[in-house]
Amino acid sequence: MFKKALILDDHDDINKGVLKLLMQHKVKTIVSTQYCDEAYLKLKRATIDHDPFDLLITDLSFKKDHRDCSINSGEDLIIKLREQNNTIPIIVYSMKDQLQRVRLLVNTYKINAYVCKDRKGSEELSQAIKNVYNKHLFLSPQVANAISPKTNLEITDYDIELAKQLSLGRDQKGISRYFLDHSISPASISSIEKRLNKLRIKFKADNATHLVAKMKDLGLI
Amino acid sequence: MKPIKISSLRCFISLLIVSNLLCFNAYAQNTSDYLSHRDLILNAKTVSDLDKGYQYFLNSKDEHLKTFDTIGAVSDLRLLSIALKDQGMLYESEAYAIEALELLDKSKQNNRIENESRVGLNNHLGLINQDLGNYTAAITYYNKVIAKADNIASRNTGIKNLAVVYSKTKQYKKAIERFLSVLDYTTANESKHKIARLLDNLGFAQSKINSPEALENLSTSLGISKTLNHPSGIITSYLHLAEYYKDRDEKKKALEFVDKALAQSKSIKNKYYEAKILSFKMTLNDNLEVLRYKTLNDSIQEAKQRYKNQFASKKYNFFKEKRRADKNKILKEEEKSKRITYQSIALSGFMLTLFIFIRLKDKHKKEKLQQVYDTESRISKKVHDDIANDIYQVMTSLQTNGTENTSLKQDIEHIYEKARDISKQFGEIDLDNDFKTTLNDLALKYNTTTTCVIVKGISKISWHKISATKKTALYKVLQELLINMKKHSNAALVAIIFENTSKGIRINYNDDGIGCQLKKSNGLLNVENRIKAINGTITFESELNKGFKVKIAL
Repeated sequence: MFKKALILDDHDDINKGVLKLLMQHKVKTIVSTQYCDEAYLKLKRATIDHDPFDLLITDLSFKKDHRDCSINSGEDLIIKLREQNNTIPIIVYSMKDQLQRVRLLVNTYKINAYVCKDRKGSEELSQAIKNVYNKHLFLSPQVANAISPKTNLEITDYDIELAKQLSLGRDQKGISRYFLDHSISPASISSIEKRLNKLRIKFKADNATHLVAKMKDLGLI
Repeated sequence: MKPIKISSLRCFISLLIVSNLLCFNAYAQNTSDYLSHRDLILNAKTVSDLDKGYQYFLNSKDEHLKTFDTIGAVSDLRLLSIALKDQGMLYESEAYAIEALELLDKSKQNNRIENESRVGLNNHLGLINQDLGNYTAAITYYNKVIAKADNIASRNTGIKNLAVVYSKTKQYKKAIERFLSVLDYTTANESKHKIARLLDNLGFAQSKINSPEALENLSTSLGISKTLNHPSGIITSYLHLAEYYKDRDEKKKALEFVDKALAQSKSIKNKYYEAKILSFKMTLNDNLEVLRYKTLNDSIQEAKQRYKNQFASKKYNFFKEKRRADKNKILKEEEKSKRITYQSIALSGFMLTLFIFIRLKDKHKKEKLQQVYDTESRISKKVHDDIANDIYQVMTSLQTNGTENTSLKQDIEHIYEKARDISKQFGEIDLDNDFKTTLNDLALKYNTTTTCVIVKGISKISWHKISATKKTALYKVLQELLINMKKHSNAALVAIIFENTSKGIRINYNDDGIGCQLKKSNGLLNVENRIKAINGTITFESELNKGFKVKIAL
């Protein structure tokens, strides 16, 4: 298990909760701080002293107070660390759930887990610590969509054309012929059939007629 | 004197010979080109000489006018005028001379050169009007010459020319008076040719009022011309002597002089003189028919000439009128274009003001909207940081402290979610990244195992052309619609359709949920206000169990 972890959150109780969780996971040294600047210095110091941290659990959003800070958010800290080639495992523990933010942190700044502070937050954080230790990425279900391959919800022109041809009363053979004539590909009957089945599932339609009716109702064709 | 050379170019011979005042010496443009063309006009041998000279000075005049060289242009105009007069184009000639005078009047520099030109031009105009038979005008011009001349020679020329006009108009006493006034000076200072001419003109006038000196003066003139061997002078003298004897009914003597004149003119082969002399000889004839023929022919010729002059005058006036009309037209056009210019300046000024006004208003509106967004994000952050986080802390401590009260836990979790939704609804939107992805991610959050969200046409919109305020509004509206959908609709399918239109973009939201009875609930009112604030339109459409439809146009 991790030997030395740093918790960065400006809410005391949350810090305590995370601390308790880490203790359950038998992490020996646990340090917590409420300021990004301080966290950065602690991380640096530890590296210089040849006793580096091997886990960072951080929030993203911090309240401003009387202190002047050069690092104002968890994102800034993560970016700064990664730019200095610090590869310490990072778990983000935040209330924010914007997918773009998650995607950016995971893809560009290589964070190791993104846990949403939600009703199951503690459970998920616990899971995340395990996953990260085993070198697996962890994302809370709310944000898991961020890096799934099926993120694009935009319906393709091909699907629209397919539905249009159905609505005009063409059967799969007829559609295939039409696609061939208009150089729309794929035009083979088998790929058309496959695609129609996928659409039917997506639109929860019982048959082709039902699919066309649903797409018409939604204004897609 | 060059009456033979020039007069032979036109069929007009005056027996009373007048003088030209040609003092171009003061202004000399000493290029050989200039001088040679000037010579072509002043000593023309053929009509084509005059034409060449005319063309040259027409160009020269334009050049001089371009460079504001008044003296040069005036000199050119004088030569043009002379060339035209020698071709019998008296009206055109007069126009050029007048143009030259006008130029001189404008320049207002009373130096010697200009005065000389002015005197010369007045004399020239006198000659033209004399030829045209406008004797009153001729007298006026000659009087100007006399008044303005700054040397005796020029002044005397004016006096002599004036006297000739008096003589022609049978005011012999006035003529004689003037001839006599210059006689002494001419005799003492001028050439024999001039003396002969003066004496001849004087003698002729005297002969008409039976002055005793008449015959002597005519004879002296003849004598001088003979010694000079000057044919035109001799012929003129013979004719005047013939007329002298005719007036006194001494036909025989008159005929003698006429025949001498005829012989002289035949010897120099001058048809015009010959015709003139023969015409005079007819008046000495006893045959009534010949006399009748002469009278008729004279009156016909006179009428013809008068008609010719009238025609020329009308033609000239027509062109003058046309030129003036053209000038007026140009002035009018200029005025019109000026007016249009001013009007368009005023119009563009007005448009600019309007544009600035609209821009400022627009800017103000945008700023206000931005302020609203900023305030919303600030409140959102406060809700997030202060309330939601605090509730989460309570939640965490409840969990960590292992409270068994599940209903309390659930209540708190519910409050937490509400706080977070508020924070999300008004939170700042990331506009720095690709907006298409931002919107797609928004929809993605509501794309669950139970609800399928489908987006159409989002990648066909040029999002970079849409302003930040519009994007923010659109995002928040769609978010509100999706939150509502998740909370109330039980929809299995949601479609968000983006379309480009001629005016902007259109967004249609449709779901297959349970729908609702439309009333201005707080959420929908918010949506409506946001779209109105960015000058968009929004319509809602719903019935129970028939889904929910929203049409937005931006």
